[in-house]
Formats: sequence, structure tokens, C-alpha cells
Amino acid sequence: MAAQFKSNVRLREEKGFGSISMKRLIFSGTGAVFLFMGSRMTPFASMSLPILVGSFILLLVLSGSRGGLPLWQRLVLGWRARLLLVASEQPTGAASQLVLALNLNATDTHLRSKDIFQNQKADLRSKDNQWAIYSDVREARQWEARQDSKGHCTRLLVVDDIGMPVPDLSSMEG
Amino acid sequence: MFETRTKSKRMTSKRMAAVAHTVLVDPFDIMLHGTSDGLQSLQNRFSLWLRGLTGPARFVTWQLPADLSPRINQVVESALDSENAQRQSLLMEYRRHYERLQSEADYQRAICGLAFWTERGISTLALSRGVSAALDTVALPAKWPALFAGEYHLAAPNRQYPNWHLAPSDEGHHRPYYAMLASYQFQPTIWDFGRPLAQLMRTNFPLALCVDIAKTWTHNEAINEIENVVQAYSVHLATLRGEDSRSLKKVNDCRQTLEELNLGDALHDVQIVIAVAADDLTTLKQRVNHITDAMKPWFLLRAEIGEAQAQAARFFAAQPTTEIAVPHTTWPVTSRELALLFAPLGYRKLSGLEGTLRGEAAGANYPVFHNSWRDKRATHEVWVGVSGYGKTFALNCLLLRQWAEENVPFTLLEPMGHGAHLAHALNIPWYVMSAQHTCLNPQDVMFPTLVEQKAHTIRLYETLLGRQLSGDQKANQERALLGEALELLYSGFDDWRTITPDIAPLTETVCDVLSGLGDKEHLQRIARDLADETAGLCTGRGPWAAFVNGSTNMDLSTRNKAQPQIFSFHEMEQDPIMLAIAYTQVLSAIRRDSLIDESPRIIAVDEVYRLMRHPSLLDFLIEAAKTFRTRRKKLVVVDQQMTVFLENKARLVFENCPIRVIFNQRQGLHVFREDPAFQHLNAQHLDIIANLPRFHYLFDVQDEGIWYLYNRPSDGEYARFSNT
Repeated sequence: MAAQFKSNVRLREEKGFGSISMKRLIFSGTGAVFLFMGSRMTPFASMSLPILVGSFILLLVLSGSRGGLPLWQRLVLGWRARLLLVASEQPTGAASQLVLALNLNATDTHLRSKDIFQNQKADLRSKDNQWAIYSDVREARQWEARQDSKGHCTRLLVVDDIGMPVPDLSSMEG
Repeated sequence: MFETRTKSKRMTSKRMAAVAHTVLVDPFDIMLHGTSDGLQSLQNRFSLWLRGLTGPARFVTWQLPADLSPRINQVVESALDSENAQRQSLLMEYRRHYERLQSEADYQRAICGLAFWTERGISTLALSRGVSAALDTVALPAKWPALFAGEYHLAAPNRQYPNWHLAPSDEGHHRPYYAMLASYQFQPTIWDFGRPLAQLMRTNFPLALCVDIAKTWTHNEAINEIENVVQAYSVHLATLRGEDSRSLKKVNDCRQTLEELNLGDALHDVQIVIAVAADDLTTLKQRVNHITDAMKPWFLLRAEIGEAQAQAARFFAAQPTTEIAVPHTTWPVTSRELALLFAPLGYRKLSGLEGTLRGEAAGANYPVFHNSWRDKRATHEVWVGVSGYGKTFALNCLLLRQWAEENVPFTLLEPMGHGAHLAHALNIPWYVMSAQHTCLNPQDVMFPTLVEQKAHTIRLYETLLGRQLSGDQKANQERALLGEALELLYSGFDDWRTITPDIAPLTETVCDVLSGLGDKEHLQRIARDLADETAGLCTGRGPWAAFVNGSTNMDLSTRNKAQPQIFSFHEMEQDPIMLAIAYTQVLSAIRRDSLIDESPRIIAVDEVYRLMRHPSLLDFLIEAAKTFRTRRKKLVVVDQQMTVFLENKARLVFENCPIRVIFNQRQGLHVFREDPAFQHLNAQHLDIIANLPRFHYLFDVQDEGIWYLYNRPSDGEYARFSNT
């Protein structure tokens, strides 16, 4: 009746230095060395050593994982979503132009139940069972009224109203 | 970066060809598998099924708080509609009962669903049947419910809620906020069917849980993948100076996984996604923190960031994982581990409020309603249980509830005199079959054709004579003569079917006519002998003269009667012949009226073995069971031992009863172990049946499920029937 769950058996995380895995150290080191070599060929050659150290630390920090995601990924996700939000609020602004240039879609920040749950919305009926979820009696009443003499069938709906007045969802969906 | 996982055009075209199949699965009661062996076998069964997965799959549970308000309102409306003062008063009693139940508990409702993505050509029905067989519960092809209605938009973290979330676009409608949490690390700890997911199912706020099985590795691929990891770690450990406990643990885990894979398990990439809802952001924060903290010992959750928050809602739709643009932080688990993530299936919640209250789930304390009138045909029930465990009490409660709440009248045939309580409760006539006062004329018309009517009356005479009128030459001649006498008498009326009890031929008339029949001397002698024998028993001072020689003095008809009827047979307990005649005539009358009437009615027969011990009555009961079913008359047959229903022809009655109500059967448990009809019961079921306390029973509905219920009565029911 029980099982001992295991660690991620597909992921390698060999011990590195302190709490930093070898993988991150190698990635940050390699990245920093590339930047160091690049900087040697630029007018910033005199700054190459600080660049090496700085970029190593920066890459270590950016690759630090939280919530299963490295910091850089979290930052990109957050900034991109903020950009999309601004673009959706000001469709003619600079943010909107930037969104277009980055080939993003500002409408991704809006969710419409009928689009996402298009195959499962509305009156979900099953003749042979009586699963039903209502959060408010009025909603159950509305459904019952629609059933009339159609015979027995049951609506399956998770209603997201929690003890509050039920809106006329049908008009909203339309 | 977080676009769909498309890697090549070839793969894309393959995915395009994949078809989504959605199935809804009825949760079962894990308490009915409550032993460690039972749970182990459940895990093995789930695991075996999961091994067979070839494509992506998804398991989703939607849960939200529920109450009995719809039922209470329905009861109030019924009371307002009813013109019967007694029914009104009973309905108000039930209203109070439901209100009390509601005030004492926090109910939730839950729906479970499965989605599969397969190649074209695979039927959803076939998949659902596979699920049903593998999980041993009802699974039907059906569309999934929507997680939310209307429009939502992505909202950035703010002071009230520090993470990204989904906010309703039109705040005027007071719809809830949603937060999507995704798993990114499963902790190396012990999971079982109770922890941790069952804990989630006990929360009293709306949430939805998704177990996304993004990929099931092929056997060889999985083994190669893990062997490569072991190899790499081995090299690392060989070159390492000092201790690396994490790597050692990882190698051990890999080796254990390889062992399980080599025993037949599959490797699945799994991610858990949880949608939490709340009225306001402060509450949302509290709920998200509660869930994150509660699950932390088993798996770590992150609040999805940015667009991923919006995309994660698609996990609750039939959209393939590859088309959901979120960071996929899946975790590899073997089939036996994944089986435990289906734990929410084992936690049945408040189901539909339609039908009759059958009891309260033992241990879970939610009321269970069952509508046995959904089908066009009635669904018969067989009830068994040793004396004193609450059969009669529960039967009285059921009949009262059905009559009060669903307006289904009943006819109760019972041999103990308990019917007085029900008659008193409903203020209806109580028909007591008595050897002294009751007269039932065997010639009353009960069947629509003359052939059937003659056979019926002859059967009654056979019962009275205590021998069969067939089998040898003389008996056959007697049967023929008696049939001729009856035909002569019935033919005296213009339309014999309109013969009412007050004008039906009497037994003494049958004897008179019979004594004059026969065209040959030996036949005349047989006729006279039979007439003398019958007259000696049934007329004059014969032992059954008062009972069968006269017009029927009791209205057995149920035609056009919406009122319940109760027939008690306790005053003729001592005489099995009279008892048999009485049962036959009452059941015949019910059967006769059933043929022209399709209004629902319950025919409850208590202590049914009294009928079954008369072979002719058993035949009658079998035939009646079939007739009643098609005419929406529910037969409820009650007795002490299940063995009564499984022997010889009695089995035909049992097989016509898809609902089995099993009270304590400690004495007759072998039947449940040996009979193929109970192969669906596991060791835990049998253990429960053997140890059921009073007023507890197993409610086994064929093709629907098994419930372990406690018959919790309303105050009114307790006051009325407590002394039964």
C-alpha cells in the first residue's frame, strides 16, 4: 500500500563545491571564460579579469534554482508577462510594438473559458450517471428548468462561485 | 523558450494525429479495501494498468465544498406542491433532518476524470471500459467539466498576493481568483493512498488536482536512460575523494528503479498541477500557503510565473501537455509509485442529491442518495441480514422516504406485525390477514386470460389439497375436471374479466359443479371424490372453509391507488397453507394491476422464505419479479440469509435484483466466498459483512459501486420505528 519515492533518477547532479553542483560550476566557469576571452579582443581588455570574476558570479547566481527553475528563467518569465500585460493595457504603446517585434501575443494574458474548455463547456450530460456539482441552488434550478421533459440527464459542472450570487454565465459566455 | 515541446515536423505530425479521449470516473470508497493486503492489491491493480500506458495521460480531480441546499429546497417545494397533509408534514421532518445533517458537517463534491491521447481509431468507450475494469469502478466516456466560467486575465504579484495569479475579468460578478501551483520536486519519502493526496481532498475549499503523465518511457529506453545515469555516477564516485551522500543515494535509487523496471514496471514522467480558488487575494494566499506547506514533506510546489500561470489552466482541459507552454518540471516515477497518485479516486464525496437517502457513508459521514427509478424499468432489491441488525427498521425508513419525498407508494407484505408502525405513521389502513376474519376467494379474477386464470386457481387448490394435480393419470384427470368446472363457472358471465370479488363464484359452487362432471363412470367417480375432498377442506366445517369459501372481504387492488398498502400475515403464522394462499392472492392482485399500470410502486416482501418454501409460490415470485420490473414496480425481497436466494430456482429472483443490501451475515459468510455472484467482493468487503454493526449495511449496486452505509434515521423515523 505504500512506496518509497525516489530522487530524480534521470537527472545528474554530481557534488561540486559547497551547495553548488558540479554542473553549475562548469557551466558558469565555461561561460565566464568565454566572456573573458571575448573581452580580451575588445577595447575592454584591461577589464577582462574583473569581467571573468563578475560574469562567473553572475552566471552562478542566474543559474541558481528556485521552484525548480533557474533564476534567469524566472526573470524572463516575469518580465515577459509584465510586458504582455502592459501591451494588453495599451495596445498602441511602445510595449505593444515590442511585443509584436518579439513575436509574442498580448492576448495570451486573457483566458476565455469557452476557448480553453471548448470541448467540455456547457451542458455536459451523461445519461447513465448522476455526477453533478453545483455550488448554488439557483444554478441547479436553472438547469432543472432547462431540462423540462427531456428525460433524465445530469449536468456536470464545476461552478466557480463560492457562496456568492450566481451570475448568468450563459450571457457571459455568449 | 517555453513553447510547446515540438522538436521536429515529424513529431508534430504525429502529435496532430493524436486524439484526446476524456473519461469520467466514479470515485470508490477506499475504506472497502482497508486492510494492508487490500490496499496492496489495489496498488498492484492500478500499477498493472499503468504499465500498459503507451501515450500521454492525465488524471484530474475537481473538488469544491457542497451542501444539501438543493435537496432541502426540493423537499420544501414538494411540500408546497403536495395536497396531502401527512406528506407535507413528513417532508418538513425530512427538511429538518437535512438541515441538521448540513449543520453538522462540511461536505465536498468531487469528480475524477482521465484523459488519454491515442492514435485515431481507438474508441473512447473501449478505453473507458478498460479503465473501469482496471480500477474496478464506473468509468464513462464523458466530457470534462470546465475549471472556471467566463473570462479571466493574468494578474501580476501585488501586496495582497505575492505571486502571479488569475483574476476574473469582470469583478462585478464576484467570481473567485485562481492560483496555479506546479510540482517540481518529489521528496524521497514514503507515499501511500492516505498521504499526501488524501490530505488535499480533505481541504474545505475549491481546488482541482491534475496528475499529468507527460510521457511513459518504453521499457528499453527507460533502462538505458537510468543505466547511463548509474554509469556516470559510478565514474564520479570512483574519482571522488571524500563523501558524496547525495550521489550514493541517487545510485541506490537508480538501482531500485532498475529493479522495479526489470520486474515489469514502466517509467513515467509526472507533474502535479493544483488549481486553488478563493474569493479574495488574502484568502488565496492563505490557501496556497496551506497547500504548499502541507505537501512539502512529499512534493514541492511552485506558483507558476507569468504566462505559465495562464497556460497551466490548460492542464484541466483535454489539451496535450506538449501544447501547454509551461516549464515542464516532471519527475520520473515507476508505475507502483504513480499508482499512489490516483489516491483521490478512493475518496468518495457527496454525490448527486437525486433519489432517496440510503444512509450515511460509514466513516466519511456524508449522506448517500441513490435514484433507483432512473431506468425505465424498476430495479429490484434483495435485502439480507440476521435478525436484530436493522433490516425492518431500514425498510420502514426507505418506504417512508420514498413515499414522502418521491411520492412512490408501496405495498408491504410482512409476517411479523411490524406493519402497524408504518400504518400508524402514515395513517393508512392496516390489512391484517387473519384466519378468523379474512376471506380470500380462490376464484377471484387475477389473470387476463382464461388459461392463466384457471392455472392460477388450480394452483391454489393444489396448495389447499396439499398435493399436485398432475404427474399420474388420476391427478391429471382431476386437474382436467377441476379446469372444466372453473371454465363452466366463468363462462356463465358475459365477460369473465369483469367479474368483481362480490360476484365471483364461490368455492362451494365449484364443488357442486365439479361433483356433476364426467361423461364416463370412472370420471364421474373421480370428480365426485375430488369435489368431496375439496368440499371437506374448504366448505362447511372444513378447516379452511371460512378462509376460502366466501367473497373476498379485503380490497387487494392497487389499481389507481396512490396510497401505500400494508398487509400483515402474523395472524396466520401457524398455518402455512393459509399463509401461502394469502401471499399468492395478494401478489396476484398486485401483478394483475401492474399489467395495466406503469406508475412506480414498491412491493416489499419481508421474510420471503415463507413464500419460497412453497414451490408453486416460488414460481410465482420468479414470474412476478420479471413482470413487476417492466411495469415499474420495484420488488424488495427481504430475508435473513443470502443462501435462501441462491438455491435452485430462487436464484432467478436474486438475479433479477441488481441492488443488494447486505446487513450482518456472520452466519452465512461462506456464500459470499463461494458463490460466483459475489466475486467482486474482496477480503475487506467480506470482513465488513461479517462484522457489520447494527444499522450498518453494504449497499451493493450492480455496475455502480459498493457503499458502506449507516442508516442514520431522522428524529421522526426514530420515534416511529425505534421499537421495531
